Amino acid sequence: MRLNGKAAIVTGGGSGIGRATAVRFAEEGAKVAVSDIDEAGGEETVRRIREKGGEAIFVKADVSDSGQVKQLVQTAVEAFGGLHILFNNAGIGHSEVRSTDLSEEEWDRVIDVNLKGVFLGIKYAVPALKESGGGAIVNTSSLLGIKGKKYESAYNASKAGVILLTKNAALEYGKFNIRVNAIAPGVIDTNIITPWKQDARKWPIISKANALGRIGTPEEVANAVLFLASDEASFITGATLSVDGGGLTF
Amino acid sequence: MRFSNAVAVVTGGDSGIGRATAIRLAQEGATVILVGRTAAKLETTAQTIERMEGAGKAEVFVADVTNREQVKGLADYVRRQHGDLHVLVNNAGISTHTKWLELTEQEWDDVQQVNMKSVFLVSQTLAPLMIEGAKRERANRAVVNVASLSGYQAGAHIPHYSAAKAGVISLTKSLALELAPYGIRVNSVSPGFVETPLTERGLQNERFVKAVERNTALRRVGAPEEIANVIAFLASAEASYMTGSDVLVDGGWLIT
Repeated sequence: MRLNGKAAIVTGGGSGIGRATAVRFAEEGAKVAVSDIDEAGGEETVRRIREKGGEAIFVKADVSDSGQVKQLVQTAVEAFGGLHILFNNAGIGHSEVRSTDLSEEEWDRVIDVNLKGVFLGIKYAVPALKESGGGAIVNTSSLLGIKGKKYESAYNASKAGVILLTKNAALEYGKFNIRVNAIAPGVIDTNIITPWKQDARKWPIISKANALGRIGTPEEVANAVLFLASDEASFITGATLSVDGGGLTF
Repeated sequence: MRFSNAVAVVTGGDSGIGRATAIRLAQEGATVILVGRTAAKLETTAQTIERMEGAGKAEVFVADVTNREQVKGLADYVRRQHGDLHVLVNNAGISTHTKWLELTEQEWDDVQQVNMKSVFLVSQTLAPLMIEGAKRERANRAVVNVASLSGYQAGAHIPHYSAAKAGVISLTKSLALELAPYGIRVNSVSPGFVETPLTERGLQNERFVKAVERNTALRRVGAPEEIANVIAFLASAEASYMTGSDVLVDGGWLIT
């Protein structure tokens, strides 16, 4: 039980990597506040955790809304008596178009959720983590925060931003015993890649564009997040862990 | 117990990160073959493992990892004794502190040999054993190379070491590509300032330690066990979707 007695928040916990990680955290003994804008998805994650004997609550929150993030942290702290782990994971994709064709509204929404959401999570969780004597923050970046891809302008920019925001927070809060790291997943079997899967021509290429020649599962990413959140990663901070099946090797 | 029934080879298993890694893998059930040049030092690690309750086993194999014949001897030994190999940790490393204009060709060659050529020799010679195993049974198999923060950043008077470690990071990616078809993952770790025999002299200098602490986000140097934990993670099935990655374990030194 690597997270025994720890309290955690997982944003975007209603599906995909967030759900798998919330479940994995709970399996290792953590109490988990599952957050999402999708109520049904979030409640389902909580149900799965409780079914296995774990402890979890659902807190509906839009990570791009400062008041709701503040409330999320407060609710988790009140429910669990403290906070040790924050997984800033909520993220969205956008229309597969060139930046000349991407609407300003869509750009703003992607940056608000993927990047500002991480900022707000850090902003409101750090005081609670300090109060608990330290802890760990893990942010979800992406292989596309490192590598460029056509028609992914806002997504590329938002996820690259997460990597530097991670380094910045690692510097600012290291002395409070708060470690801050990012994961950079490659192509993982979640809702966000549904549009790619429908492209019969490109999907066979995209899904094999890494050394292992397959897409990853949310559970495989959850294991990496668990590792970074646990004491096993006690000397890792400011780092970005690529969990991409070798997507960066070529 | 992530390494029950696993056979692991750790080079440079006599001290520092290698020793801590061997202990960590054995704690989780692995049979560890400690490889190094000095039998006595390897024996000390082996005895520590043997004394641990519920741990795996430890064996000692004396070999110079820069010598093809001796590495071949290691492969023959592992094949004969265990018939399989699941985890390979290429950890052996050395360095000297010498200014560029004073660096001798011999020093350059020695450092390239132990830090980089050993990865080539040991991985190439032991990989067939892992591949044969992979053809027999589906199991977690992984290589972890110990690179360094110095592979990213120039340090004080270690140009030969920095170049070799940058080579290890790159070689890791190539190996990841070549061994992926056999289900063998290859990753590296890049430790920052960690208390080991290699850094002992530098870390006796109080001013140097203060400077490291001041420039590290976590305000301290690391312990070998903190690197061993990362190597164990990368070697385990928990890292099943990781290959070709380098994990920086430097307490946040490289950020600035």
